[in-house]
Amino acid sequence: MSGGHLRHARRYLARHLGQTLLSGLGIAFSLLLLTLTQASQRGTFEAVLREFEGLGQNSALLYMHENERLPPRFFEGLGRLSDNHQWRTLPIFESALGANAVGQPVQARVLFTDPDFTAVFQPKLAAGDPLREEDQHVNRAVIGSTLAEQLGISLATPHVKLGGEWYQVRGISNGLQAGGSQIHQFLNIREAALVVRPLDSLLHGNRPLKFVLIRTANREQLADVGRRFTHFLAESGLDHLRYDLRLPLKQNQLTARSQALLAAHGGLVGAVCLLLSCLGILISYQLQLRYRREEFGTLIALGASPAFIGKNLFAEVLLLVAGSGFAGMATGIAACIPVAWVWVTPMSPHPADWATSVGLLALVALATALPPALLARRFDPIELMRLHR
Amino acid sequence: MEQTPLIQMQGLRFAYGPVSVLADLGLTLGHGERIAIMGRSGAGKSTLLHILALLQSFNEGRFLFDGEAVDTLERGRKEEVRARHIGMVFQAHYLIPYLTVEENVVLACELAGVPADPNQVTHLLACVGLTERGKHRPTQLSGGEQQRAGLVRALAKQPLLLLADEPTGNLDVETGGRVLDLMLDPAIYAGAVIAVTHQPEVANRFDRVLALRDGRLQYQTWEQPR
Repeated sequence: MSGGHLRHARRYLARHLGQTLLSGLGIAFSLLLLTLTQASQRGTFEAVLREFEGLGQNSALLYMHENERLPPRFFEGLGRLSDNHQWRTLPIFESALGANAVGQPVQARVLFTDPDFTAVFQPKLAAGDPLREEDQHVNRAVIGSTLAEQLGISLATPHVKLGGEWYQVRGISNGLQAGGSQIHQFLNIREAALVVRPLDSLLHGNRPLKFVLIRTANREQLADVGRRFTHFLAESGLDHLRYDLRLPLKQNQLTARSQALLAAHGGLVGAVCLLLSCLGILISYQLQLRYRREEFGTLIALGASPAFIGKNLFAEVLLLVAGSGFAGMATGIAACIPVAWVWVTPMSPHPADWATSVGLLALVALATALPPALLARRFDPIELMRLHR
Repeated sequence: MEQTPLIQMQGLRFAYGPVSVLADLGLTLGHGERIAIMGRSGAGKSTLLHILALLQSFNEGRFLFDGEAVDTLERGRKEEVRARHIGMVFQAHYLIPYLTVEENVVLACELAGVPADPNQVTHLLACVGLTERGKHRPTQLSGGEQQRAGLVRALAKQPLLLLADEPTGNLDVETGGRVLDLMLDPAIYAGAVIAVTHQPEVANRFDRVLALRDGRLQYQTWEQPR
């Protein structure tokens, strides 16, 4: 393919602007969507990593195989166990705070989007002790409107008295809101909530508990968790419960899992959109192969070969896909800012994602441009010339 | 030394399956010679044009184009010869609709591998009275202008052979006459012309008039049009 083919293709596309725009719209939209999805996924991923920063080094994740609500004695026992062994425990409930996980971010936003709220209420103490730096990440709550209501937390009273101590609840709407869905993905649960310790005040809710994330003071204690938890269940009369102990929660696994999800989700969205767009362009060019036969016949008469016509069509589709794809990507990157602002969601456009998109676009361009080009090579020049009668 | 004829056809046969179209056809055409071919519909005129344009293969016989045996030429070489040495004009103009007149002309030159000489293009456009129309698209031209633009496109690469299929068929008598004047004006184009036409008054303008009958070319005689 030479510069002549590209020049000819550019002229064709530029002088059939309506058709070009219509054909390219799907690809542009797909790339826009893909870029936004990638930016959103990456933003979420980064927000979650920030949220879980430091978590996992000295943590154990206990998954309770229990669909029924756990009795209050479980929470009471868990509280004692944690206290006795200097664990810090974050129960993760299945249903109380579904807002983040089930696409109802409005419920969560009500509490957390007010900038004054996050500016004023910074956690300073945990159980009477100054917060360590890593605890500042841990001892915060992500709560939705339902639990907030149950705990009596509101914008007017953003405090919660837990275990006889007052805790301040801080929310970061972006990371936490998006993080909800990411937590759901990490932990393979449908609904989740993170609530600060101590647990006592939460017991009254008698909620189904799916995960208990236990942070201990040091790594040695982690080895003891499984054994002590078995005893704990037996002492609590809950030894019918099965549990998985994952120890420790490794940050790099968390990262790998998130990246895999990032690629899978972005890829899925992009693949579906691009597939449909490609199909549209292929159908469009299939039709063009019919209604442009007069033009092709003229080119044959001028000395062009069917291969030349094929290369022209290849260049046209290539330019169309590349042009509209890049336009879509550029729009997507530019749209990240307003999207993040309007929907209060973390967006992180990243060159690595753009490179992936460009690679995908190149594949799509080739896959879409080749069929019409190959079909054109099979043109019978005599058939085309018969039109010139 | 005697110049090799541009076209030499001997014993040319072509059939669509069992239907014989050209049978033992012979034709010799010198450089710069202009002939008209007449014949009834279905006589095989278009097939002959396609063979002359190196688009259609034939079943038997011998066809030399400027001394080269066409049946031994590879496809790529045929396309090269067609692009470089053969110009075609049709009953309808068949300009590429999204290109301007000048771009149509330049495209033909590019396909021929001939650098488009802007002065030559301008000169040809001036010769056919389209000086002001070079930047216009075909849809902005009248039928006669389109046909003249098509003629310029065919002639810009200075082909050895111009094939014309009913070149004035869609034009009124006056406009058609003007196009014919241009086509046959040695100052504009000095190469050979083979024109297929149904119109005796058009055919009469050529050096020789041949009739395609029963698959063969014969000298045409007819009553002079009144």
